[in-house]
Amino acid sequence: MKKVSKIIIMLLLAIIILSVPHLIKSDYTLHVVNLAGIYAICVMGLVFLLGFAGQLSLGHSALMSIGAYTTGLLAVELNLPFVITFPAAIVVSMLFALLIGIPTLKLKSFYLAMATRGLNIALFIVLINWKRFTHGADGIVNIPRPSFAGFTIQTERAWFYFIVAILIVCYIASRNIEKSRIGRSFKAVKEGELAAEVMGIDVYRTKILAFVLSSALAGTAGCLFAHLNQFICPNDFNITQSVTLLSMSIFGGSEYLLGGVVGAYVLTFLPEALRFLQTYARFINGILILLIMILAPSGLFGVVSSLFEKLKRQKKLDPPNNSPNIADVEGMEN
Amino acid sequence: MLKLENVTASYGFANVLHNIDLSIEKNEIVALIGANGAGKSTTLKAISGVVKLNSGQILFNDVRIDKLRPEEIVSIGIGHVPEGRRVFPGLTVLENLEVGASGWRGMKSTDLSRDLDRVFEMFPALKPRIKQLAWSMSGGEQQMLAISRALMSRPKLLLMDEPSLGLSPLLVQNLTESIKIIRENGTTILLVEQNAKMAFDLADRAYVLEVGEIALSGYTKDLRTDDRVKAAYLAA
Amino acid sequence: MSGILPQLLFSGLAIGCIYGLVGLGFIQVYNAVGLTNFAQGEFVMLGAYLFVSAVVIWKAPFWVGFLFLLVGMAVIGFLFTRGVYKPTYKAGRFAFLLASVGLSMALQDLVVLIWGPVPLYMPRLVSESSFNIGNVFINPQHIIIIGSTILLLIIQYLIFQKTPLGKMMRATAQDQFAATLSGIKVPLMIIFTFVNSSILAGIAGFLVGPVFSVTPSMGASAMLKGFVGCTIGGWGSIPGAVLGGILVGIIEIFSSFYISSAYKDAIVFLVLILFLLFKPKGIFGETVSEKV
Ligand SMILES: Nc1ncnc2c1ncn2[C@@H]1O[C@H](COP(=O)(O)OP(=O)(O)OP(=O)(O)O)[C@@H](O)[C@H]1O
Ligand SMILES: [Mg+2]
Repeated sequence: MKKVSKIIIMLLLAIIILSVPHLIKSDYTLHVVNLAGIYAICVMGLVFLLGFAGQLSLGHSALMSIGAYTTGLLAVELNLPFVITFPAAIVVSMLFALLIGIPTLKLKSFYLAMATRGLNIALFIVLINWKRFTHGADGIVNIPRPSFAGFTIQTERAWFYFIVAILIVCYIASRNIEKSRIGRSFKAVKEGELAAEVMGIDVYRTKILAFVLSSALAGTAGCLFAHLNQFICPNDFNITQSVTLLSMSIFGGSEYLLGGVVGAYVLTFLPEALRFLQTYARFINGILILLIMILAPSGLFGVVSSLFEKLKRQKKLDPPNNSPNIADVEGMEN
Repeated sequence: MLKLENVTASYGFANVLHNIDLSIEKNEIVALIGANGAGKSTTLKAISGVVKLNSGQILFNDVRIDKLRPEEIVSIGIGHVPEGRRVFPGLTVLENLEVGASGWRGMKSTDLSRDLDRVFEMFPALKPRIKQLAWSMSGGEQQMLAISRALMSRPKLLLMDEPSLGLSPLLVQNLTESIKIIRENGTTILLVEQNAKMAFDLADRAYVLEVGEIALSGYTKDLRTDDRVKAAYLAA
Repeated sequence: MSGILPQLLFSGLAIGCIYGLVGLGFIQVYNAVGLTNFAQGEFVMLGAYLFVSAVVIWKAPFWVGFLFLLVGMAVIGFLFTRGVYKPTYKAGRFAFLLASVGLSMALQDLVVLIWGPVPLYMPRLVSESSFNIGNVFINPQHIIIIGSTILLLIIQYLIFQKTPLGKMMRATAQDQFAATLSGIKVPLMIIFTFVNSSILAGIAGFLVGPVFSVTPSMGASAMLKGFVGCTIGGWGSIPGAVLGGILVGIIEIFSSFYISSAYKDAIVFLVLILFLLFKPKGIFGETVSEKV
């Protein structure tokens, strides 16, 4: 029974996904859908890091830029094909994550946050100023479309299928990791490092692994971004962009991969829908984060799932008394 | 002087205290004993207003205090020496004592010297160390400091949470004497102890707490001969 | 040529004082509640904007502008405690941090909405032309910065070491539970801590305004450098945070001169990474591992 309904849902989902590019007539809108898909990949990386392993990165757009510039430079300067530049982009972003992760992840958690923000600032400066290598603020132009065996992914519609395919692959892989021993060790580390250590988990390595995997997804997203837009410049990957990625992950609920995906689509489209508010985009984004953290820190999926749980419990017995009774002395738990 | 009526309290889900009834008369020393996790510290925290009640009430001199904030409870005359001493490690001995006084009186901590003298009279060992940082003191000295800090607010009732923990027998002896003096100076005492022998030597009456409920209570001289008490708490 | 070294040191010291003040605010909050406030840099910026509004836009006298800054920053610190800290500090380890990140972004845009995107000019207390001692050129504003920082540090020292309020704030930072049982109004002490640190940030903005221009993004890099300063000093050590900030300022000025001014922020980042790699406890050695 359950299996059948699952299959039906899958089929329905597949039909909806496949029909999207036929329903959307405007190329521009489809382009935005594609961008959202790319962000969704990166946001899944943030879910990995923040929601599963409990580490915060404020510079994921910097890691995206590593992927984008790697593939862009290799493709434009050396004429290398996508099948080579794509894995190269992923590997280089993972290397950068190692570089940042090794010195910071042994320390308190806010170090990664600040170091990734620092990376974001520093990398931006390098991309702008190292003109001979990165073309500075002009960026890299004419990045070729990826092609496989003579077939080039040219139209927005083709891109849609391409990105959704990669998104699904990334999702399934991430989901499998989440359910595996590695995923469980991530969550153990998040729950409490001391306890995780007692359970025999190498906390430091686990955190590094989470960050590197997260960066691989960011690099993937950055690479796709470069080839979709065919043009990249430092401003595509500034601090604001990093914070936007973060708000996508916490909007959906940072503990849920699908939440991240939903967050990415919603928050990519929201500014488009609210075009007239464009000048306030950053303001709205900032306030949005603030409000989510104050009102519903577990995000959309968190709220929905706790509602479900409440319903379930009400069906069973009378609900337990869960009013917190520790006096409201701020910061009582040190 | 202090009365707990039907007190129930919890941390989040599970109830930790169930229908606790407890009373203390003026100038008594009352002991509260029980196994680890029985809820002794929670009882003290409930009196101090740090843990809020689910139901029941707490009266101090016939006034309800269970809705008051912790600092208000200190200011009406209930001091609390927390479990594990918890002196302020980066403050000097003198500063620890000043904070004990000013926390209660607010910003204007004038007229400190009399209170300080009183405390140094009871614990002369502290006096030469007033400039020393609290973390660098021995466990026994820290316990004296913690008690002194609470005394700086001139409590009418002093709650003490396992003051003998980690002290050598000789120091426990000294502590016992100090507690007696505190009572002679007019302060009523509610003493939580794992060291039941010490508690029974000191206290007029005792309550035995088991998994959040009062299992037994009475005069210590009667409890001493109770078989259950003997087996569970006085066996050695 | 011989004059260049003392001159760089002097400018570095002045700029470093600003980072030291930012770091001081950081560390006070960190000591008190164990959290880092990512909007601290925007508080620097707000301080500068408040002062400029009063003095340039409303033509208020200098001292009124400064008073306005102090009161404004105190109000901001209070609102921040109530509106951001209080609702988030219990909601998981990053709720406060993320909320402050969101706030910092919103504030950067808010000042654009209120004051416009054009950099503002901050009036000076002293003349703009620099003078020289021997062959060292001195920017008068740098003297103001260094002098004010020293004064502020003395005031902070007196508040925290000599007044009952300061002692209660320190006690609260060391053990909130024990502070509560000692009758201290812990929530109030936390408000004071945030108010104090935002006032420090606001004054830093007032001091640095005439050196850099007053822009919406002026706080962002000051925050990073204040943070690096705290790391160099070892989180938890107050003199360490100030000295660390000064060191960052000196590194920045030297690397601007000898390497490239375009890369100076990137070099500061490099310094952070090097410190985390080789001296994660900072110069003054405070334990920073997660397990403490
Ligand atoms: N802050 C807290 N949050 C959740 N549960 C708590 C908290 N503090 C105590 N408890 C639980 O409440 C129960 C009673 O704890 P309490 O500290 O009152 O015991 P106790 O009698 O003082 O024990 P001990 O002799 O070990 O000090 C225990 O089961 C404990 O796990
Ligand atoms: Mg206890």
